[in-house]
Amino acid sequence: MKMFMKIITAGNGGVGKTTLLYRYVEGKFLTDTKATLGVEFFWKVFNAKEKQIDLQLWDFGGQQVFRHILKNYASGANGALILFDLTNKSSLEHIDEWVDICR
Amino acid sequence: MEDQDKIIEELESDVSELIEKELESSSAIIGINVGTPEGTKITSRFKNPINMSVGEVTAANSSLVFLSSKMLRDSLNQDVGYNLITGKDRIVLSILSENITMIAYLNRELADLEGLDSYINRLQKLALQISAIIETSDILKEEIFKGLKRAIPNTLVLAIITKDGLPIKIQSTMPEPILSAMIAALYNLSGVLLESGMEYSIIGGVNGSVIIHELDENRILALAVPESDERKLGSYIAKIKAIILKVI
Repeated sequence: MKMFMKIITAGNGGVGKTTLLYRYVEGKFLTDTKATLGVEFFWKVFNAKEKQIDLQLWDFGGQQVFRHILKNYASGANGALILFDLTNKSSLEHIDEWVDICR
Repeated sequence: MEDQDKIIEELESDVSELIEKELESSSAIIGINVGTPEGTKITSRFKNPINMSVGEVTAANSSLVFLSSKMLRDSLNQDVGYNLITGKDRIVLSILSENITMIAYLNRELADLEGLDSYINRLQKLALQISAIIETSDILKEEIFKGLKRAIPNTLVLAIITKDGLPIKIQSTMPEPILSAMIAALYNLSGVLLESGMEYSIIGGVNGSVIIHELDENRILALAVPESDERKLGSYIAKIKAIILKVI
């Protein structure tokens, strides 16, 4: 049995979305990442309760300039991870905006 | 081919059930055959055997529907609903639905007694029900894949995905989730830039190109070819359009 899931990661630029995904998918920590231009993709397969889950991970660019296009990418997603940086108050204040983009 | 056989086998059991019910409930209906507009047999049930094989009936009906559609379109600019052929003992009613061709053989005497109109109506309803089953099955994407491989044999990557990025059927060495996500993102981005829906897009390279084409309301088609000549790419687009028109 195989399942497919589209998952989004969103949040302000620089909070660590790409780094987190890279760590999850590749098992390595990236010390130096560039800003994501619009969207990037990752893929992870794992098994849960005898089902193979194919995770299609959409890594949204966090920069303000890309936000108007991101809503188009959110359609059909099964879930979203919205991230903020504990040391950056502004990234928390924009959570509602990201929720709106992902919905 | 094995894939297609398996899909048809699964489809056949669903569709056969509907057909058998219809045959049981009407003494005038002698048999029903269902195929795709391209002439692939889906299922066939006859109370008594006829001289033609199932494949021959499907192919003949496919050709009949094609000619009838063309005749009606070219002469009256109308879409075909059905084709009724009356013989001494039999009536043959051919129906074209969204994505199937259906042919029903009727006993003329019994059908005349009960009223032909009612038979046309009930068989059109049956065709719609079968059509709904086919639409959600894998047969359409198999038909598209088959048609594209035949029309553009040098295709290196072939993908049918949803506009959300869900892979439906993919033939590629790239991981399916990544490829389907990229195609969906490109499609959506194209729509943003055009400020309306995209019809098709060509990503041209020096020795190869990727063509992304809208398939229907919910799906996108993408293929990669080792070709950069614009005239060739134009002819590929025309072929893709013809296949989509034929299958969808």
